[in-house]
Amino acid sequence: MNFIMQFESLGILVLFLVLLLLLLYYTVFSPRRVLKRMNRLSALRMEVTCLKCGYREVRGVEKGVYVGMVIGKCSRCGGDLVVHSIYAEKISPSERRYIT
Amino acid sequence: MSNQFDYSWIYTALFWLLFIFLLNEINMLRVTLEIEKYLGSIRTIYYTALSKAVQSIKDLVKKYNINVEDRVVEGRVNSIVNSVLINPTDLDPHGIVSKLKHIITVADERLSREIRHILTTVPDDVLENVKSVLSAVRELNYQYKLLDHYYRLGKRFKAIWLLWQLQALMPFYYEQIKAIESAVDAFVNGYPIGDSVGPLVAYKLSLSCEGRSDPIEIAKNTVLIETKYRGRRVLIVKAKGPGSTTGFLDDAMRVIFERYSPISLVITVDAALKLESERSGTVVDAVGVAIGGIGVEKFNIEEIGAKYKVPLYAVLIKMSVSEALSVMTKDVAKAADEAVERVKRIILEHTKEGDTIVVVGVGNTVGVAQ
Repeated sequence: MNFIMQFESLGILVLFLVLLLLLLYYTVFSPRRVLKRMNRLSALRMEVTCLKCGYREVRGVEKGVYVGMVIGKCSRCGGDLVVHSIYAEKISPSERRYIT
Repeated sequence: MSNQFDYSWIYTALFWLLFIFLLNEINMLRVTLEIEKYLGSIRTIYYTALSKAVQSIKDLVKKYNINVEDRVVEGRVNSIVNSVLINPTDLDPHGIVSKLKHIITVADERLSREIRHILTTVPDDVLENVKSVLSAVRELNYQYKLLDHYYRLGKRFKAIWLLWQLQALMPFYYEQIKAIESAVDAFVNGYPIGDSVGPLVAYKLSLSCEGRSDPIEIAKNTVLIETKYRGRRVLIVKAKGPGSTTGFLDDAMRVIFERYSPISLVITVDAALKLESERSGTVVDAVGVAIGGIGVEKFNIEEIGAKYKVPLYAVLIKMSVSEALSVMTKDVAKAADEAVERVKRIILEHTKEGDTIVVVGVGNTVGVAQ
């Protein structure tokens, strides 16, 4: 009650609240901030696969790798382990409902 | 009756007059501040990308023991980044596609020579990555300068309508610019981008078919892999990886049709822009030629298809602009496997044993070998 009494009238309080809300809207919900949130990426991964037995494994990406590169031998059958795909796991801005 | 004059209406009128003029000024201030924020971010993105490009070339100079001074590298990069491509005149549109192709080919060759002048001994795939990095930085430079131009014009002439339009378009430009920024990182490191999904499908398809031949360079930076699938001959075309190039697919198609005719079916696989309501990585069937860009290759392949009366089918993998230019996302990478199955299904349903089918993996093949 004392806090409200400091203001000359209720109108000034409402004005301040509206200004605060406007400021919040322009700082938090500006299109630039929305875009910034959309562009967040997480770690890069690569899926390696054995051409002989089909064994698959997901690893962190090493520098200089590319899809189709032979990066070693399969621990199971000794066949060539090849990079099958390289991708980044992206954090979506929200779990929206999509039309497929 | 009081003879005192009532001034309150004058104050009210003054307030409203000031309010009307001030409102315009406040609006102008708000709009310019928002545009300035965007431009500031874009400027930072551009300079960061430029320094990354220069640094990556300096690293290559060191790695391959090339005798070039740093200032030569900086000067050359600066000259490439500020260069422009002049489109042919369309006053008489007849034959414009061949003129455009000629200019694009010349621009590509010139860029290669410019970079080769500094990086004399680097392998071709590394050179292609550097070309893409510099092209991306050039695009960032152009977009920044263009947006800044309209901002300065609007501010100088207090053209609020121009500034409003710029403010409305800024989020879309900013998204594109952020995507190009991500592409620079991908090209510097040689990782596949969303647009590489076409070549990725071509690569995966070639592995899953029988009797895979060694890749042959059928046109500049474009390879052909011959395979068999359920009694059909499948000719798989893609840009030559793992360097960053889109190849010359129309030239490759011309050679294939001359050497391997009759062709029963052409299937192009490419990334396509999704609508906001669509999920990334959705695989869609289409009829026609799926090739983006300025349309030269699309035009030429359509011409070949029409000349030989060959059905032109396409498989599209949906993604956003930012996904197309950033490092490939998990959704898109998973969609490549689905697209391979879709291509196989189309081959089985629309051709018979003994037919020859051409599958074209369209897109930038950065980070995807053959």
